[in-house]
Amino acid sequence: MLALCITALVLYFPANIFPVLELHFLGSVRTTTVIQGAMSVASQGYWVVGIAVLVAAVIAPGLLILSVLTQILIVKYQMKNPFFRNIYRHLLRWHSLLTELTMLEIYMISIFVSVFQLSDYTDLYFGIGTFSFSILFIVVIFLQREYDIEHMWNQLNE
Amino acid sequence: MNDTHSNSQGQAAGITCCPTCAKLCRIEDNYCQRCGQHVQSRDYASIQKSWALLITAAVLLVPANLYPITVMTSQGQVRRDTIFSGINHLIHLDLWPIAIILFTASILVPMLKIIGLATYLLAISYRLPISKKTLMTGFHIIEWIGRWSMLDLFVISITAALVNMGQIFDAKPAPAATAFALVVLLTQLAAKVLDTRLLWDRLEAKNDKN
Repeated sequence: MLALCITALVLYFPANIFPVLELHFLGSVRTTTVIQGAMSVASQGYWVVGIAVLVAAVIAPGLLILSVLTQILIVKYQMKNPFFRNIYRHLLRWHSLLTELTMLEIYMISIFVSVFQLSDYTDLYFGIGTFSFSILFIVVIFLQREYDIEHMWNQLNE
Repeated sequence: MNDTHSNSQGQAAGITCCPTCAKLCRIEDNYCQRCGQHVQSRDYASIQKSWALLITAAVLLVPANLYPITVMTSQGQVRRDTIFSGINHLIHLDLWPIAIILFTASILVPMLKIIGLATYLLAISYRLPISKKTLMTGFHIIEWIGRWSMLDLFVISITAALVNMGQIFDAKPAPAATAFALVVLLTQLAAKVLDTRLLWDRLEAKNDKN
């Protein structure tokens, strides 16, 4: 699980920094990252939509990966320390909310839907970001499969 | 003796499950020993909370479907699409699979969620003759599939960011987007806030063999 976590963390950055889609129209090129997508909606006054996109596709997955990583490290090295035990307890409490907010799989499908919708008008290309994002999505799926919240709670009993 | 055992509930024995960490706790403790979360046997106020959120969502569903959700400008022509007309347009372009995905995610799912949750709440309050297995399966489906309504919003954000070339080719979100986002959020909350244990009590009292 530690390996999956680190892989996810490494992939998280290119997935968010590089553009997920490139659009070529009459010689001009437009690219977008996940964050830019959220910002462009928010800047036109639809900040509810912008925040929803930002939380579901950027913030929640990031926090989820970080939270799991911290949990693993605490279980491994610092379980005796009451301060870290407390942190661990709080992280576990928030875990179910974070999983619910993480919507990478839906974002993945959205990318394909947009490609089909827009391919009618213009040419679209996938960037490095698309690749990183899909791998990130697969790694996070496996991470969530490996993660067992019951087991994590039981660590506190000892 | 054996029979009463298989039907007995934690409430009678004075124990309950912690909602956060699933540890068995005594009800009189009030707080879970392991995670410190407040525990109570049943949350009776959750029906009201759930109704409130659900009704708000149902009201918001009207503007979400009536107002345009995107404004597309293509070579000077402006087109305002509501959720439904957008899907209609896709069917005209022969993009059937995409049309079906979008129809399910943005029309079918929110409607089914609101109707389904309302049925569920009514079943708790008025003991409707629906088997609890059906209701519980329905509830889990509602909880899981509700996330997929976000699809439409993601698509809007991607297109709005990509397509911004003024008069020639431009896409912008429109008022319905906010309403739709709130519908998704509120229905998700309504499902989350509800204490599903209430259903088991009410139907247990009726002693149905489902």
